[in-house]
Amino acid sequence: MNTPAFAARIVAITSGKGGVGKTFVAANLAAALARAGHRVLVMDADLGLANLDIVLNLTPKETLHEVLTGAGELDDVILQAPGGFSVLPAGSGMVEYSRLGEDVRERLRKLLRKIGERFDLVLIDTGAGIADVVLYVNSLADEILLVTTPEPTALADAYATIKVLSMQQRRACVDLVINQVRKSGEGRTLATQLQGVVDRFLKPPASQPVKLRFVGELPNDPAVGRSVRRRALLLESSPESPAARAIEEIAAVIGRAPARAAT
Amino acid sequence: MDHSPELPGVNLEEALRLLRQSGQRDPLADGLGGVALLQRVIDGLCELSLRDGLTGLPNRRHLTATLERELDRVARTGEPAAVLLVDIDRFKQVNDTYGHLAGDRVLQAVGAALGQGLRSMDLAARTGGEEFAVVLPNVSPASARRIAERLRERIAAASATLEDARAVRVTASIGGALAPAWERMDPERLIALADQHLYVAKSRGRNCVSFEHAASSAVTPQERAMLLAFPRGRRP
Repeated sequence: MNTPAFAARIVAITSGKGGVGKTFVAANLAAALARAGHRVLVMDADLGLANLDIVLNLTPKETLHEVLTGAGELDDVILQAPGGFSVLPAGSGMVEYSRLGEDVRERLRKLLRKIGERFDLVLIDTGAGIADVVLYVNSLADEILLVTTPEPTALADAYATIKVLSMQQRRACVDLVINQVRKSGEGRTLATQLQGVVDRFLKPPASQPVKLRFVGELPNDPAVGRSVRRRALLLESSPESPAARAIEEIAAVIGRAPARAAT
Repeated sequence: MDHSPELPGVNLEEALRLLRQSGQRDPLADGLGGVALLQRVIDGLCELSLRDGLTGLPNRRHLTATLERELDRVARTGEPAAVLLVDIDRFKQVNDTYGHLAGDRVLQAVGAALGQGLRSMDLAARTGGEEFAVVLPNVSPASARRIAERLRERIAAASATLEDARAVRVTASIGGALAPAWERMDPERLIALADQHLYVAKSRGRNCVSFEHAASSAVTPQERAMLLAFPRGRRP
């Protein structure tokens, strides 16, 4: 894997399907990790449909776009989020990033290296799916955290993401978070089943075998919807809710160590 | 007296002879002298050193350099590339039946067919006896396969005309491999992969294309079926 060696751990938070809670997980995970003492930055790399700023109720004047075009300074663009972490917002509707040119790729790469010097953990909120841009952003990360719900469509799309990462980027391991589970334990069961499909079909030489690391599940919790509507972090608005507790547990796993390929 | 008086002690005769023989423009005919002449001769020799004399195609050295550069680009930009190995079927029979001169004509005809079947950014080279290789930059698995098929058809349709006006037709087998996006693959590994598939194509009866399986990362119906068969009975 040609992962660049940054000082910080770069974790891409990605999903096969949109609307499975990727940005919600990124924001709240960042808050939990910051609370645990890590220096965390969340970068909104959902370049087409950025909304991390909306989730966090921030009103950025300048965004990643200004940094990439050289019109803004990184220090001016990075904002402090309520949860004690930093945010690099992206502008919404940036159609010009639907396909990244080599120059933009190069600038993103350099930017991430620069950010990496100042933080322990950089979480990248990628777009959903397996478009070129999403895959490129994923390729810049040391680790992949894949978010899905138990819905069959979301799981099928999650598998598509795993398959592409295995075949095109030779990813040996992917962290898995199952959001909106209806029953405790459902997440682990689904992760095991997904691993079964991966083991059966993703084999050398065409694919890299992939170890899925189940890092946790989030219950279907009404507190989540309330926090999203209020544009507040769940960890701040309902810190005692089951979903907030689950986030803390996931943060503990992520904060401890990256996943290993070997079983 | 071929060498320039401005370059005492430098003997360009042999180099100039080679350049003229190769069909390049004679540097002396342009009235060049001194360093300019030397530069032209060096450029000409470089050009010669990268070309196969018989077919006029780039040679193995040229191919290796191009492939190295292309694989760097694949790792940097994520645009996948492919390499094809093209081997003329039963070439020895051509030589045995019609003689080596006929063999040369066949090689030239195949070289020409390859050149015509490619996009402008592609590079076809003669890499050995009856073996050719093609580098396809920025190509999807599907188009790489399509290009390979087109080359195979063109070669089968081409014919070499012998001195006695007889026409000789040959076929070729093609093995292909894709360089996965974002990865800096070792060129030798990629060639070895394509070579394995060339072997597969030969063993399938020749005049066909065999391509690396890694072609598509789309979810197959089998995978989909297994994903959708997850037990869901216990869910509310």
